[in-house]
Amino acid sequence: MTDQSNRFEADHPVAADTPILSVRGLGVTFNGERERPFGPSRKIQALDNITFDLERGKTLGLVGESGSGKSTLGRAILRRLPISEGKVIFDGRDITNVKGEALRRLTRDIQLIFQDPYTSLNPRMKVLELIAEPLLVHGLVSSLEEARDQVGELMRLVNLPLDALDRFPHGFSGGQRQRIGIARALALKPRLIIADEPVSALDVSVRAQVVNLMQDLQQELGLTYVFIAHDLSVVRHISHDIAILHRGHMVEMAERDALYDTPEHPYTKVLLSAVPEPDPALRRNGDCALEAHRPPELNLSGPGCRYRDCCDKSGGHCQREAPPFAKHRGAHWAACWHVSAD
Amino acid sequence: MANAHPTPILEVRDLCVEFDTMAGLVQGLRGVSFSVKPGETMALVGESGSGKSVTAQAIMGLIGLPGRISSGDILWKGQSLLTREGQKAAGKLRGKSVSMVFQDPMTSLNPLMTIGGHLIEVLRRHKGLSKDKAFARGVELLDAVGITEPKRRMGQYAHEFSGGMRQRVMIALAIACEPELLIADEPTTALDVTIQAQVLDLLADLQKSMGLSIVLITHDLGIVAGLCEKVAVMYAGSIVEAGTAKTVFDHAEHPYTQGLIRSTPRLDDRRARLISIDGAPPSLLHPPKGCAFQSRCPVSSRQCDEKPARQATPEGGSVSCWTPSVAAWREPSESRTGGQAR
Repeated sequence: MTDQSNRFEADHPVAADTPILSVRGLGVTFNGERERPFGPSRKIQALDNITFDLERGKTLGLVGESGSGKSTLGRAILRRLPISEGKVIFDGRDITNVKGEALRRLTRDIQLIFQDPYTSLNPRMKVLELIAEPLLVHGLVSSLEEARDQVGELMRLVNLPLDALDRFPHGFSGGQRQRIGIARALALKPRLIIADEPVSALDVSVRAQVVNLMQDLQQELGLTYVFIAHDLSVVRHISHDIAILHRGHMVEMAERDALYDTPEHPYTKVLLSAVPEPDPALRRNGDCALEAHRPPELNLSGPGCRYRDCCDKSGGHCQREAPPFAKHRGAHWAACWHVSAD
Repeated sequence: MANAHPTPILEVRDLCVEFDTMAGLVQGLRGVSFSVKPGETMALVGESGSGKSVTAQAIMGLIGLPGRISSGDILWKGQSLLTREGQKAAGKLRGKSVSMVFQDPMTSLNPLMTIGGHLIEVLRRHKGLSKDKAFARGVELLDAVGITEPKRRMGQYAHEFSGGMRQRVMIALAIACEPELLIADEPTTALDVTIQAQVLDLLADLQKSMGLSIVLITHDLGIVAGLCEKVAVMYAGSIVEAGTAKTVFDHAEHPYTQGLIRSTPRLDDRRARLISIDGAPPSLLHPPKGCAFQSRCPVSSRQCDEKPARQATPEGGSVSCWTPSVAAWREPSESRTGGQAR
């Protein structure tokens, strides 16, 4: 249906087992407030030394609290932010510095699903216009009417009724709006989708519909997801691997069940114990780890582990030197001095 | 907590609230009844649009045009708050004996007023304290909700506080006049999970130490178990099921409650797919004549065209359903049904 001609192509043949996305030592720095008028601005290290691989057709769950840098990482992969260090490799090609037309073509392969389906859809555009917009922008169709069939097909994919095409988004519920957002993201047939908290704004019973839809679409279309979330409850169902971010650092990354069954980093344990338990019989009783926990502050300076001021295991070594993000037990990565490497 | 006090401090009887909108009359509440005894904690659980916040606003006298209380009654210790004399008494009661914590701590505090200013205002208005005494009491209150360096913090503004800290300030404001009933409207929805757990622990501690009654309004069944003994589940403007947290969780009678419990993601859950409730809640502009859940219910029958009456359950709760305690949802099969289910 789509012409492959102006796709973003690698300059050399890519082996099928190359990860679709590789991030190497990625850093993003923001300019903070100036110390004095016209003086140099303070640098805020929003992301520091992020490294991971994501295989085709898999989902990486990216979990962290507000301020941890999870959305920044998503936007850096989309190349919507200046990258200060490191590399982003998409489908075997370094995209850290692509510009202009190449960057434009890249957006066809990497798309975003937004958090809030109420503010991310233009209230003055009909569903047809909303979903056809990316196709028009990229010149894949020349008019709305030409796009109608393709949009109808997308509506079928996300289980929306066809008669919705000529209605405005205000007439839809939160779950239906999020489906419109997903259809819009799928319009360009992307290979990688960054979903930035796609279900956080939805009701519990509808949340499951959207997560299940995303899983079905992954199977059907062979999509790869980066699924950003702020807690560990929903990501379990959709992710193959899960990475935990804290103050701009990746503190742990592992295969899904390994992370839930044997978390290594103290921060991961705190996040796990903070998920509320609905069964009164299993209600949690006093977590010491939670007591000491404080919200992340980006301006913690000096060497040493970034988690040292909240950690109950923090010792001299943690004050002096930051632990490396290293591999323990197969594919389980963690950045903590108290994890025994083998 | 079993209490010798037989009379409930708050009783809501068959409350109906209507909103006169351009589109027509929206029935926000359609006959809500419940009562809260001294020292009791109750949760009102429901999705957006189910009427849980409208209930709180009605109790606090915050229903403004175009809304109005069309029938029913709200009783405080046996006295109606809706009669003419009652309304006068209610003005003194609200903010003092009944207070409220709102969802969004970012917008509920005046940005031009110090935190101390907020506290002093409340204490002088309701308790008639002198400025110095109010300041000293304010410091005590900030200390009681776990804010460090309370004296210095009194002089700071809302923007100098993090989200969790602001919510603690809101709680300090709400308990400033030693209320008997605290209504918490989604107090943790805007907060990170770890901070959510801390705020919930704080509410539980205050409930014990002050003998507060709490009405917790939430969409998240997960946070109910940690704090509340009683639960009322709301759907489309009515309470469909009520009972103790334990019975509602272990023996949910209403198909909606069963569905809600099953679609709440849990950490110990290894299923690949979440369970969803298909469809969306009905419009309250033209609510269905019969059971409001009929269109989404897997076990609905002819009988459901008529509105089911509220009936007692063997476990001491109540439920509005023609076929209660039927296991409404089948165990999901592991096979995926594909994207185009309907």
